[in-house]
Amino acid sequence: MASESISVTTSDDQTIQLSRKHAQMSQTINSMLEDSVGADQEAIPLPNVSSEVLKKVIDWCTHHENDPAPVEKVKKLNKKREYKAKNSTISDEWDKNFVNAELRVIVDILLAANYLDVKGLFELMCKHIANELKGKTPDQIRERFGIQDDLTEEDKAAMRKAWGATKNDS
Amino acid sequence: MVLGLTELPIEIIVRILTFLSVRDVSAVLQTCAHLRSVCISDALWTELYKKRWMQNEDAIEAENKRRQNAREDAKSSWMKYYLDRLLQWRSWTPRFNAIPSKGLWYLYTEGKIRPKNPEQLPEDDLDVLTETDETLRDHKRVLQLNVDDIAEYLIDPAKSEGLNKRQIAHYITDPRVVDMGIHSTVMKRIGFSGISLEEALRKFFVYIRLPNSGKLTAILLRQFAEGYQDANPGSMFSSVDEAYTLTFTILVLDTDLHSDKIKQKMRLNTFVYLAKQSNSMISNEYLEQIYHNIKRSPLSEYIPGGCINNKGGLVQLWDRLIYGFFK
Repeated sequence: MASESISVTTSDDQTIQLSRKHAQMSQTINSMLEDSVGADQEAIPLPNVSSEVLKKVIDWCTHHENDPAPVEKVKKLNKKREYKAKNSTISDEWDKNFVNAELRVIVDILLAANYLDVKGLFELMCKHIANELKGKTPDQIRERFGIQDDLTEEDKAAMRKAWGATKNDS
Repeated sequence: MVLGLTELPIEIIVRILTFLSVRDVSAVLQTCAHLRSVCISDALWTELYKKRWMQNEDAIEAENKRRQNAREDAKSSWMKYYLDRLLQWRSWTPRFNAIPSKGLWYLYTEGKIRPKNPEQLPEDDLDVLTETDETLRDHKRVLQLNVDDIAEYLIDPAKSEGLNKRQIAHYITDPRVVDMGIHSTVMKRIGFSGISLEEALRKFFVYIRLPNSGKLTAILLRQFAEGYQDANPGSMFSSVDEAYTLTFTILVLDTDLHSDKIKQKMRLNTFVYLAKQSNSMISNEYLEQIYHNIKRSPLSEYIPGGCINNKGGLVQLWDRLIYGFFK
């Protein structure tokens, strides 16, 4: 019988307890648990996640622990066109508040969600960054994300020319 | 360590970019060399392609296969393939002008028009054997599309560029289409609220021309009158019929005053008399105003070639109307 809480060790060598329910929201931890039945006394090492970020992830998991599991629709619709309303609107108020953080934190959470394979959280962070990119000029994006401009003037002129034709489309 | 957007693994950047529009991707593309390489990658554009045209993996595989077999010089990036297809869509108007339902279905396949029910994809598996089958199938297809979206494409000046305005009239008066209610959405979109019937008629002719047959003209003008009544619930017309008859009388007046073939022009009192046959409650001032406006500027001046240059249909109706009055 597996115990109700799982301990994990983060990159900064802290051991954190999390409930089995939350741990199973991460596909990565879930498969580790399945692989090592009976050996669950040992803390699971998470060398890519810091304790600070893991706490954020647990916050999110706590809020979303009762969400219905994402349905795998792809196979069912395979014979027809797959109609998926994919847009980046974040509808949950709690989520909106959650993503209201510094870029560094957002990126860390995104990477952790990717590593831990928490689908909903990963999706949310991607949407958030997409929203940050939306409707901005290249200069504004560079400023917002601290990107170094390493393109030459010729490159830019050529790109502006190539993209001029499609700029107004959707 | 401060992590930025550029330090993210490429597959995550792709994932983020799939939420963006082409315009936004083009902005990201111009920021730095690393992001540019992601922004032109096939990985991104296949995702965008699937999303925009609602395609599944099969279509992507088929296209990839085609590329493998293509000659070296015929191979192009997915980005180019996507953008080419994006630019192609403008040709929807000739399709509509030829066969309206085909044009509208094309818009759907290009992801421009949503299905009526977003949860359910339009069914499209009717076996087509004969020409009648094909017409029926095209019609059934359109029935499953979102009426608001259709009306937007018919009326929005940018989207309906090149559209035959008479074909719009033929389509929305088509007996099989009338039930869908495209006409009322179209009228709503043109917007008749708070303006006089004559102004509404002028506005109407900016978007739509009269069809070639008298019967369809009658249906169209009736739809117009309904639209006007819906937009102006407190108007002076107590019924759609009254609005319809006056609309008609205005068109007759316009033809009469501005046609070279008619030597004896209709006088104000004749017009007032005609208009009052059907509705004696209309004030003389309102009718005089209309008479002078029409005399000053013909309805047809809004449209090169004139809105009523198909005299055949109108004359038939004129006859019917006159007989109606003097029976």
